[in-house]
This record gives sequence, C-alpha cells and structure tokens, in this order.
Amino acid sequence: MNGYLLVINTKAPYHTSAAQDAFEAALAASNVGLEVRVLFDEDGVYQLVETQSPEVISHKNMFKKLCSFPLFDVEKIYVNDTALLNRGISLESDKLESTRLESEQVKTLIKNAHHVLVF
Amino acid sequence: MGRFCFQHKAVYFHHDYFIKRIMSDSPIFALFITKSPYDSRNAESALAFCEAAVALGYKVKHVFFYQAGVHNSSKHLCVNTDEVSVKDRWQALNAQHKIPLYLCVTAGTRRGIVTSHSEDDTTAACFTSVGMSEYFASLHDDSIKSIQF
Repeated sequence: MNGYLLVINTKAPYHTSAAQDAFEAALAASNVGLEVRVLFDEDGVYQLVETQSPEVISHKNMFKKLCSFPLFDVEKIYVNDTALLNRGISLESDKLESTRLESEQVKTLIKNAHHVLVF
Repeated sequence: MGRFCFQHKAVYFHHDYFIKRIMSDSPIFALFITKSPYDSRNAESALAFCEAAVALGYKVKHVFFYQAGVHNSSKHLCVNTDEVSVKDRWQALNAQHKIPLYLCVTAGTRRGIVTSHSEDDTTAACFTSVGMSEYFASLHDDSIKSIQF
C-alpha cells in the first residue's frame, strides 16, 4: 500500500472499549506491514494524560500501553492541539513524542491518508 | 483514496449516487463495521452500500465486523415480522454474491459470541471468525478502499 492507515482516537481511555480497540487495531495493522499513524482528537486526548490512575477502577494504564507504540513500529503520533486547549490539557513530559497539529494540519493528515479508521 | 467513514455522523445518502460520484477507478471495497445492528443504523447503511455496489458491478472483497459490530453475526437476532432483518440480508449477501463476512475473533470472544467450544458459538453459519490481520493484510492492495460504518 502506498500511503498510510490513520487511526483516529476520539474517546477517553476507560469509559468505552474504544481506546483499547483502537490500540489493538493499530498494532494488528502495523504487524502486517502497513504504515500506521495515530491521531488523538476530541476526548481521545485524555488517553495521553500521564497521571491517570486506572488501578482504582481495576483497569490497566492506557497511557503506558500507548508508550509501547514505537516497539511495534507505530512511530508517527499526532495530537490535535485545539482538542488539548479546549480541555485544558498540557502534555508536560511527552513520552510519546507526539506531534502537535493545528486544525488545518489535521485536515491535511486525514486528507493524505490512504485509509482511515475512527474509534 | 479510501478515507470514508460514517462512524460518527448520521449520514444518509443515496448509495448509487455516492458510489458513482466518488469511485471512478474501479475500486474494490472492504467494509469495516463497528456498531451493533439494532442500536444503530450503521449495519443497515453498510448493507445498503454493499447491495448498491454489487448492483453497479463493483466488487466487495469482504466485510469485517469489529467492536460491537460482531453482534451482527448472532444467529439469534430476531426482529418483528414487519421490521428489516439484518441477519437475512447479511446471509443473502454472502450466499448470492459470495462476499466473505469476517468476524474479529477477539471482539467476538469478549462479547461471548465466539467461544472456545465452537458448538457453543452463537454465530450464524455465513460468518467466519478471523484475526484482524485478515482485514489489514487486504489493504496492501492499492485498489482496495476501506470504508467504516
């Protein structure tokens, strides 16, 4: 495939299974050799909050899982800057090394993708 | 390009018109369905899309069911007699046009649809449990257009 598969995360990490499902889909796609890029948008940016404490609801830490993306050759991670600003989130130590995008850049990222999956 | 997704907004369109308008280079479609049949209209939209694509001579490589979309595969789905039976339409699509209906085995297991004892599975015969790689491997073919419902 010429081009990349874009996986868009739009849901907070624990309220639904969407974050986990998106994570597994991204890994499965990368595993068969597709170039996978991941965008965090809308409430999906909550997945990037480092200080989440999911153990109190008996869940595994989503952010820690996301940090394993580079091990699976998923290295291009993007965040919609507006979504962060709207929710008052600042990613102080960005372990994921994500790229902040303005709204127009987000549109371009989606436009240039060969395939898009939204979770 | 295959960047079409009807996941979040209720998109109602005339499928024939849509397919003719955006698809001029003989694409092959691969559908990715993530919603359960009764709770949302996504599966009905996907069915309408498939039926229109086939009627217009396009090929649908396969339909893949992920997340709550796996509930489409239940052989126990039952609607009132005056309502649309999604189950019957999926079966017809599979039987008449040989379009494979793939069910994500992990998503099915988590929802109690696929079990370790296949005789206990609630999946209808026209659905096949596969890994996600089945879907993604098909995307290496540049003529494939992935569409999410």
